[in-house]
Amino acid sequence: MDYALYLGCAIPIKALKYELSARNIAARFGINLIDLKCFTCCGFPVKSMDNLAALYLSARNLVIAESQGLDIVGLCSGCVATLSEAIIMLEDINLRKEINGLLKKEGIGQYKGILKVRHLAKILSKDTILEQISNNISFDLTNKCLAIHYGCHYLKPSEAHGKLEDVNRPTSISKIVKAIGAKEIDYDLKSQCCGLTMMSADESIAYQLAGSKLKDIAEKGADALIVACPSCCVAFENNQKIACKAVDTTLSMPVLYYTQLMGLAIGMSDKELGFEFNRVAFKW
Amino acid sequence: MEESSVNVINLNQCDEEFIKELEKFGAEELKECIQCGKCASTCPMALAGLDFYIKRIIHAATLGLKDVLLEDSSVWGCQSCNRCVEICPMDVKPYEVIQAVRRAAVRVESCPANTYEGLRNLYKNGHAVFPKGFEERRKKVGLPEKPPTLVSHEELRKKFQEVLKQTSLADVAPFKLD
Repeated sequence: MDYALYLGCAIPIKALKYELSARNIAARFGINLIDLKCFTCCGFPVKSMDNLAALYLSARNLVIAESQGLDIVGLCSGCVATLSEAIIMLEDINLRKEINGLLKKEGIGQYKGILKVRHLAKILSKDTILEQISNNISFDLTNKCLAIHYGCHYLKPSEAHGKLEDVNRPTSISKIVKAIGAKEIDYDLKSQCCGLTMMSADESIAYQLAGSKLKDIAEKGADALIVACPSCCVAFENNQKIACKAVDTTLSMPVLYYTQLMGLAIGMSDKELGFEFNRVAFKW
Repeated sequence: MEESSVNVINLNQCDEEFIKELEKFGAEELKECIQCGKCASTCPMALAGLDFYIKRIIHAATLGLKDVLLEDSSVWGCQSCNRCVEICPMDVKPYEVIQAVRRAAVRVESCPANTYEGLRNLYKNGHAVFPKGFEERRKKVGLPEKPPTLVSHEELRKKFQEVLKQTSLADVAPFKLD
């Protein structure tokens, strides 16, 4: 299986543990993540400035993969949602014509609309991969209780994600947790967002949103929180101390990407999984 | 909104041109809103206790209350989570209304100070997020020092920059894209 690996802005610069673990776990399961040159930002940060410019950014990334005959696999939920939304927007013939005009000026080919964009977690949670994982467990995680934070953009807008799973009852990452033998805990605030974007309007509210979720999973006995998006990871890991303070608690809750969790279960090394970058230490 | 305890809305404030501007900026279904409040029932902004949350923002937009909308920072707290889009029974796409208000706001520089920082980075490097010192960290863990993005291709970056200059971003930016 060949895919174009779309890293986006944040991951290759701020979320190296995710990039490392994703590259290494994909390679273990025969998923060939191909680096294409010249990807840029997905366009999301300038959506609030100008829709057409944002769409141009999305489209140029789509074209770079499409012209190589590859579908895109993304790691950041925000990027995956943004690129997927662009595919729907570009079904409009007039809009596509206008965007193709800009792409022509850049000289990187024309958008045809034949590629797909998928989040890596959706690929890794396919039954064939999960079966391989279950057959290759070398590190016992059966006594671990894990809370999953799916996050907003991993699931929504559902139309852009092709309605691949129920936005209110997602199962993909749950299946990964099950396959590695750990127990997934249920918790009241499971569908609550990480709050990170709220930082622009009100920092204290942003911290409260992340803190209340961390407090909830701690009370339900979670040993770690599993995430699939670099923004959510910042909210729960980098900001953990201050977020916990905002809800009058002190916690030391490990936060792992699903890729790190899978790698851990099949005995990959700390180095391969980038554990040196995990800010909340854990000894399992 | 108004400081009054009963939040009386002065309809004389209505700016119909502003409603048209919002529709042009993507709030195409704005007038379909029936103020049922389902968006507010699912919105993290409302959950977090912001006074001026999605339902009220849309209400103000339908009434064309330009000053109210442009002076309040609440739209910048939107998580773009799309819960409102999923739940809206009238297909208003409430999130698009938020984005439309933001697009109007950035054109009068009524936005958080860091809004333009991402654009500056994006123009220069192709990455909206671009902190210093990442090369060393990448090298240390065995990844190529620079990611395989446009940041590693100067000539192609120039072509990209030329196109960006031809978009509205050049007008929106309070600095010269150069």
